[in-house]
Parts: sequence; structure tokens; C-alpha cells
Amino acid sequence: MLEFRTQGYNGYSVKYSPFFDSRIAVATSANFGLVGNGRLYVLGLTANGIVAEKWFDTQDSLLDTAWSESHENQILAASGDGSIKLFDISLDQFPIQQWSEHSKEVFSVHWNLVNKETFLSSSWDGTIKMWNPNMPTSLVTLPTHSCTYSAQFSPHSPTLLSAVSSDSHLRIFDLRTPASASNHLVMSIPIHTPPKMRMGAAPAMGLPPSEALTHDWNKYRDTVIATGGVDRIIRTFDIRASGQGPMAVLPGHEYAVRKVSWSPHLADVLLSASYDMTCRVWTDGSAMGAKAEPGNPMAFGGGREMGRMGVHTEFATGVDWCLFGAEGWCASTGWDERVLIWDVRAMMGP
Amino acid sequence: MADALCGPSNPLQNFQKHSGVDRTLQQDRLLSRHGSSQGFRSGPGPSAGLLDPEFEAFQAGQHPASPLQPQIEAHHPFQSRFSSPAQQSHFQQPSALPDWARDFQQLQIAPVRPGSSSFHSPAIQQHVPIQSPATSWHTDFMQNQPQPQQQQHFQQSPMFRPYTNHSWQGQNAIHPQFSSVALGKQRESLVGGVQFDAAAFEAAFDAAQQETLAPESIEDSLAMEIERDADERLEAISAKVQEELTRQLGHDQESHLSNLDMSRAVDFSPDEGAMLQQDSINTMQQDHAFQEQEQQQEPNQKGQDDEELSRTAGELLNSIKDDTSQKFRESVFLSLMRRIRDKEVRVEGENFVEVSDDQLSSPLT
Repeated sequence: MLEFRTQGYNGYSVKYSPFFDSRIAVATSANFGLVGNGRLYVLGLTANGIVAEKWFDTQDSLLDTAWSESHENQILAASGDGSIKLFDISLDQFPIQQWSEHSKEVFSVHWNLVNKETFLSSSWDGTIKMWNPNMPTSLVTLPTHSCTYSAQFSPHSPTLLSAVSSDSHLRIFDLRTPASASNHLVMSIPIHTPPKMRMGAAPAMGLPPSEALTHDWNKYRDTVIATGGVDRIIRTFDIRASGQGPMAVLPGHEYAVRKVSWSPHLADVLLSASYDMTCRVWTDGSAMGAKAEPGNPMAFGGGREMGRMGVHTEFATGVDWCLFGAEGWCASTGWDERVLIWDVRAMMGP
Repeated sequence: MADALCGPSNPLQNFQKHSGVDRTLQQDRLLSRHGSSQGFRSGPGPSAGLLDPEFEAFQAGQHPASPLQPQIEAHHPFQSRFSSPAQQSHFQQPSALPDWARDFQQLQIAPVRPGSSSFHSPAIQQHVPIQSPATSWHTDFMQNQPQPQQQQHFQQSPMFRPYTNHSWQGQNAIHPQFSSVALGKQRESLVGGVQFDAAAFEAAFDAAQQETLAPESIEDSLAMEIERDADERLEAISAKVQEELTRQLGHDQESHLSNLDMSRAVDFSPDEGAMLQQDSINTMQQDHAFQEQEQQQEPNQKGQDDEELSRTAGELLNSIKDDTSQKFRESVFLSLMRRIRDKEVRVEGENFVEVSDDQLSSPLT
């Protein structure tokens, strides 16, 4: 396990570069993001461990970051003052572009993985905005009317995007639909619905709605999305069967789930980071031969926790898989001012 | 979504899809107000059949098919519209729609005759209310409105009138019951629609000014002014009182959390909602909303902000008090929360600072 200390700054989000296997960006904030500045670290993995190749200081805290998919030196940072900044890591100090349309904290940014020309931002002001880095203003604004913690493009379609927000709903927008009164919204899935009852199984417990903090598209099954939130449960949904409830329910985290990320190598494996200070690796039970974890009445769909990493000493907030090399390598960050790079396989039980 | 499934109902709709402009914001706003106020969608409404002959007449151009058409030639538009009470009653029914086509024609042609401007503004201003006793709305309007103001309003707006003209007409067609109200405005707007010339506009404006300065109208307007002043003042006072009350209520319900810098601390807690009871989350979200409204911070509010922050920290800690794991006991963040709760630490500018007895504060590393 490799470690880097973001001295004085608490980690909020970590992302591997899509171009280099040795480059990692970390969005951090001073004072746990409560007051003060932010700093965007660009870290390099060298033979001598992790070194900070570059960092950019910002006036307000940084809550998320996303690498450009079209330019290897460009990277986005989502700021607590409602602005989105585009940095070029070959330049010093200042962002090369900045957008300030959101009226509250921008909580996530995500680059389009298919056409690579646009990116999304979601904010506590209740909107998702789509941008082109060459344009001074946003291209599309999609209202959700509630704090939107996470927005993502589908990795399979350039016009399909999704978001989860504090109203406990997973929304799917399709930009191919006309900009009618529904604002491209094609689906709104209540995350807290219990799974559909099945023969021979006890009816699932109903849960109250709770804030959804994170979600991720499966990289192999193009209709599957995992969500996580304040109710401590990770769920997977198939957007083809939006009325069916979750396909898998994965309880286990002791506090809110802050980040989920599907493996880029395996269709059924996902990684999570939580306020219980652990990162855990899960299978959603869709793989052949997976067996359900006995005991937990909340569990559904045959998924189970496969391993956990408990090295972080404060809330774990960010986790990301390495796209290159051997499957299983990932990076995590948390409020303990640390970035850890570790192999998931080493954390897995027998 | 809906119109994606229903197919094209008119060609413009399809065109709009192709234009690809982001209109989501406007639509969002429109949606929250009124769904049915869009002119095009309501086109083939109950009055569609009524409009058809007029449209044909319009298309026929100079060969009027409408029985009302000859009146254009016979009378001056204003006379024909204002002088005959019989026609006035017509307006209250959908059958009054013939005028729409005619007006539209006039708009198109818009023969501007600056010299022989048939539009003597003061006369018309007087004219309108007097000549239309049928519409009680007008008399009400006249009684409530200070005379000079009304004139100015009519005088200044002709530039924009052609547009409103249409919208009023549209409403007229859809809601005949409003027509008496609508017509009051409409008449003026029609006047404006024809009258598009800058010189004539200026002349009319001068005339109106002169009228305003005329002795008898000064007396009138003075009286009105005084009355209105009193009204305004009363309104302002009551608004003030109300505002004060709401603010006080706000303070009682949820006292202010923190200054602007700390707003994130408040906001943060929903994120950690698992650790908080749902009700406290709600409280804090409301707090934040409240704060957004009141951006002005006063120095003496600082103490209160600290108080609020400490309360929030206390709630957060309370929600995890059952957790006795070593990690949580040793957590730097949670110990900071404890110190905030116990008011050993407070926010100063962009930092947490320790509060010592002699009020000297040193930055926390």
C-alpha cells in the first residue's frame, strides 16, 4: 500500500488519469471543507513512492475533480463557491477556464466518456449543467429541484446521463428527447423502494427515503447503475426495469456511503467509500456462482461484501479504480489527509 | 417527452426540436407558472372555426369576405371601434373576432401619416373612457388611477404595443368572459399599433405633457398624488412590520447558524445524514435556506453564529454517541466537533481559532 499525505488538506475526491497509469488527481479542502481554501493535487507514482507533481490552490474548498477525456493535461475541479475550474497541469497557478453559473456548491463533475467533448456538473442549487470546455456558458441546464450530489454521463451513450439527489431519486436524462416540459427527463427511480417480492422470500423491509450521495454506471452492463447514500445501503438498478425496484441490495456500511465505483475490469465488482471510515469491495451477485451472504435480512439479490480496507482514520470520501495494469489496483482518499493506493485483492477474504 | 411520443401536431413544433437551442431554463420557468399560456398550442381551440373565415379574408387580401370589412374604408378605425356602442357589445362574444383579422391587416400595412396624424393623443385619452360606458372596468380604472399617470402609460408604450396586441387578442379569443377587460387595453394597443412613427410619438408625448400641466388636471393629479402617497406609506409600513415579524420568527424558530463562511458546515451535515436524525437534518437545511435569504451579516451576529455552530456540532456528536469504536474516538474531525461544541474553538475568517480566556486567539494548526 502506497501513501501520500495531503498535509493540511482533507481529501474529497480522487481520480486516476485516463491517459497515464501513474498520475492521480486529488481534490482537497482545508478544515474538512468547512471553511477556507481548496487544493487540487496532481500526484505521480514513481519508483520512490508518490510525489506531488503539481498543485493548484483555490479560494474555496474543492469537492470533486474530473480529468478531461480529450486532453491529457486538463482537469476539472468543482468548487464550494459554485464555480467550476479547468486547470492545465502544464501551466502554473491559475485555471485556464472558469465557469460560475451554479448558485451553490458544485458537488460533482464528470466528463463525457463517449464523445469526450462535454462534461457535467451537479450542484446543491438543484440543477445539473452540461458544458463544453470551449464555451463560456452552459449548454443545457437540467433541474432536479433538490440537492444533486452526483451526476454522470453513461459510459455507453453520449446523450444519456444520470443523477442522484437528496430526494432519494435516481434520474435518467436523455438529451435526444426534445427539450420539452420534462427537460429531457426520461426516468425517475425512487431509490428507497423495497425490492420486488419473490416467491419463498420474506417481504423486504420498507425504508424511508434518504439522501442519495453517489452513483455509478456499470462499465459492462449498459443499463445497470449502483447507488449509495445516507441509508448506508448500496443498491443496483436496471434502468430497463425501473419499476421493479433494486436488483441487488448490499447492506453493510455502518454510516452513509459517500462514493461507489464499478470495477473497470469485472462486471459484478464495485468499490465503496463510507463515513464509517472504511472502503469495501462488493459483488452484486450477478456473476456466475456467486452465493448470497447469509444472515442479513436486508440483503437482496445475492450480492455480498468481499473485502474491506480500514486503514483510513477519518471518513473515507473518495475511491477510484486504476484503469491500467493488473485489475484490482485503486486509490482512496479521506479526511485523514491521506491518499492510499492499494490492491483490492489483498483486502479480500478467502 | 410527451410531444416526442405524440408526433408532430404542427410544423413549428418540429422546427423547434431541430433548432437545438437550450431552452430548458425558460421552459422550467414557464412550466412553473402556466402550462396553457402558449399561444400556438391553443390554436385549434374552441374558436378555431370562428377564425377560419377571417383568415381566408385575410388571405384574399384586398377583397374582403368579412361583412365588417367595408367599415375600414368607410370609417376611420378608431371611430368605427369606439363610437358605435352596438359594436361594443359585439366584443364580448367570440364573434367579435373579425376585428382581429382587420387589425392584423392594418398592422401589416401600417400607413404612417405623420402630418395628418389621425391620432390626437389627448383627445383619444379622453375619448377612450368616455366613449365606452359599457365596460365598467374602465370606469373603475379611471377612478382608481391618477389621470396623468394613465396618460403617460398609454403614451409611452406604443412601441411595445404591437406585440401585446396579439397576446391580448389571443386571450380574447380563448376567454370571451375577459373580453371586456381585455378590450379596455386592447383599444389603446390598437391605437399604438397603427401609430408607429417617431415624430407622431413625440407630438403625442408633448401633447400629453401639456395636458398634464393643464391647471385643472394639476389639481386633480395633486389630490390623487396625496392619496396615493398616503397609501404607499401605509403599505410600506405594513410591509416593514411584516418583514420584521418574519425575521423575528425566523430567529426564534432557528437562530442563525454561522456566518457565510460557515454555511458549508451547516450544509455539510445532510451529507453526513447517517449520523444525524432526520429532523435535525431538516432543521439545518432550513437554516441554510434561511441564510441564503439573509446575506447581510452584522458583527454582533457573530456570537450567535458561533452559538449555532456549536449547537450543530453537538447534534452531530449526539447522533454518534453510541459509537465507541477506537477510530471514532480518535478522529480529529470529531474532536474538532467536540471542541466546537464546547466553544473551545470558533471560526475566525477562514480558519478555526482557539478561544482562550483572555480573548486572545491563535490560529489552529
